[in-house]
Amino acid sequence: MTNSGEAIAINGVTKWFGDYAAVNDLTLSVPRGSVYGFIGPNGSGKTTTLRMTMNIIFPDAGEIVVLGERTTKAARDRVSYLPEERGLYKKMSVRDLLRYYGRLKSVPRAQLEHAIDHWLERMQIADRAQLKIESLSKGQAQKVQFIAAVVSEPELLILDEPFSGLDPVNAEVLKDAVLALRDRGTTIVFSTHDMSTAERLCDRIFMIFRGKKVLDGTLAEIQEQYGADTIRVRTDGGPAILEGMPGVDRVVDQGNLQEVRCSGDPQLFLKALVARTTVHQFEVTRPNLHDIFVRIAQPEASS
Amino acid sequence: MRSFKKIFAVAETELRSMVRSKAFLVSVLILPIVMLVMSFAQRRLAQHADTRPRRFAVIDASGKYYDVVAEAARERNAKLDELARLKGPQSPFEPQRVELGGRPVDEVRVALSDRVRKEELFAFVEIPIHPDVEKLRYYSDHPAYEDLSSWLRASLDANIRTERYDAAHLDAQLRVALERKVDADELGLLTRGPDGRIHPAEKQDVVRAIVVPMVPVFLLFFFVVISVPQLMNSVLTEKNSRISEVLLGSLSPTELMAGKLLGSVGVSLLLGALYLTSGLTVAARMGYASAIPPSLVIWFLVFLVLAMLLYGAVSMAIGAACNDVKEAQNLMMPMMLPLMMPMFMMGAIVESPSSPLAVGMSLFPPATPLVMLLRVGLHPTPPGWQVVLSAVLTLATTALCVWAAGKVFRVGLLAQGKSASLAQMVRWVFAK
Repeated sequence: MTNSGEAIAINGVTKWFGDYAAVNDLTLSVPRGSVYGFIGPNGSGKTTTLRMTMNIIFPDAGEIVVLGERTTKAARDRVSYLPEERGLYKKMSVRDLLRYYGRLKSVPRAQLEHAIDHWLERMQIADRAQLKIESLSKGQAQKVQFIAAVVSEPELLILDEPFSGLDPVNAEVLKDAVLALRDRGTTIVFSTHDMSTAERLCDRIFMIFRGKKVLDGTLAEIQEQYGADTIRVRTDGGPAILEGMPGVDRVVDQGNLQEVRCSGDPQLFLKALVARTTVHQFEVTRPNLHDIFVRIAQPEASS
Repeated sequence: MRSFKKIFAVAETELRSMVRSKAFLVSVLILPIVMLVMSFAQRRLAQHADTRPRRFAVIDASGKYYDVVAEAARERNAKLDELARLKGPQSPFEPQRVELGGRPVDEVRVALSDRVRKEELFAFVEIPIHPDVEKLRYYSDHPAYEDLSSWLRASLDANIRTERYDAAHLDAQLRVALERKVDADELGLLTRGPDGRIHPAEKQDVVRAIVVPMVPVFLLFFFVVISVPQLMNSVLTEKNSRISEVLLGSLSPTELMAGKLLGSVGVSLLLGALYLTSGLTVAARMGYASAIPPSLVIWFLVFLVLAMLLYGAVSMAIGAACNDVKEAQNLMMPMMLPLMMPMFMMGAIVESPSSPLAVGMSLFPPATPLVMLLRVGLHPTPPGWQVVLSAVLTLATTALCVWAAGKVFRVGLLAQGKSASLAQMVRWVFAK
């Protein structure tokens, strides 16, 4: 049942908070060496799933196998976690803090010092090593938190919203670091609200909604499920001209162009559109991750 | 092994951060500073003691004792410096004779009372015709000041006794023999050495019998009161700043709690060592080095560790369960009671250290470390099995608290925003 090629195997896991099933009969397999994106609206069970994987809380039913270990405790030192809400000791110096977190992952001292130097350099904060955490900027603190998670060179790295609150330059530095870790064989699981990041970085994407798995696969596989029902149009008439046209289920206004979900024949729709206005662009495409996310979560958000 | 290394890493970090904190510096300095200030204040107070003359009126119905009082006052006032060396600064006593002059005695009393109120007089006294069978009447507005009234009684007493001896025609030697009092030496117990020789009993004194056993208990109380809230705060901060989530990804809550607890035991041992070294140095200088048995020092350290473990574990559980300092402090109150109780009951325990109450309190937590430490310093010393049992029970309670604190910490982590009720916490502890 447990495949040695899996970094995480979640089998029929359920977690109750009172009467509410935060995660409901979830089964998921994260292959080793992959970058796996966890998406889902707030409160859908992402963080609960990650915390259960980290052995911080326990499932009420089902089983989680991490790096081949049935008790996640045994895998603890080979797994690292960057929680969504950052936790650093304000009064500690950057180096002391990284040493402490590294020791808690049982990293040998000499290796730890080397890793700290390497990562401080790589994240461009080597000159901050002796400063207290409280004197760092938010972005710098976030980098320190990231280093704290990777300094033990984990086999599995779990990142909860790693890019939130970072400016584009720092986000790029972090993204490069994540990719470098992947190239070294680290399995990376991260949750995000940023769909374009998920599309660009992830080999596979998993979406959880109301505690249940609603999407799981590569981006292509997921898009395949939703077919080629999205049409991007740029017309003189703008969004107003699309209202009430036959076959149009939904219009998403992107400013200069509109994304139309069309249930009818795209050719008939094009003819009808040409009859109404001047068409500059007409592209039949697959829905992107953002659209798919919204399609799944929209009924909930609007209710 | 890994688990121990992690616990040690937590302990070391906790110890370093505590030792570097301002609170540690304060706790190192506060007791010596308070003691210095107190002794300084006492000296200043003594220097500025009220040594104004105590003027008092005497209504002498006997007609012959005023002169006795006046003479005694003169003698006393002449020896004031000598008295001051023995008993601290003294006021001279200045009697004034008051004649009734045909006035009703109550009128005179009222008039004298008014003079006392106006502070022209300190007090007034009525000497009856036969002071040996009737009482003196001493009137004053300073009921707490007893020097004058007791001096009056003693002076008249001495004089009247002399009169009686004179009336009985007793010679001076016989008088001395008649007045001799029973005295006693208070001794400890005799022992027989391994060579069969009997070691004589030593004289008991207050410092050895009471002060020496009490000081370590006060010190222990002080360390616990200083260190325990720090530990609670550190748990509370980790929980609120979400550091706990990172930590729990690396080690179990019980390991985390154990590490923190060990760290703060280390801090209190460090404090203990500092205080012991300076305390023993001071005691040696004052000539009391021999009064402090080495076993008491060892017991102090043992019970310091036990006390830190026990109260530290409870306070961590409280820190884990609460969301803010205020709330945690409210919950700390009931925990401080078992700490305070031995302090209030110290007198009773010192008087009879092997009473059922003292034995019970020293065996069963939560007051164990303080009461047993007090008992091991007192005589009769508790039997060895009691000391061992109290240590075992304290350790068992500690283990229980560390485990429960870990459980509460794990669940409390997710229950941010609202605080747990006591019933909820109990449920968390016994949840899977």
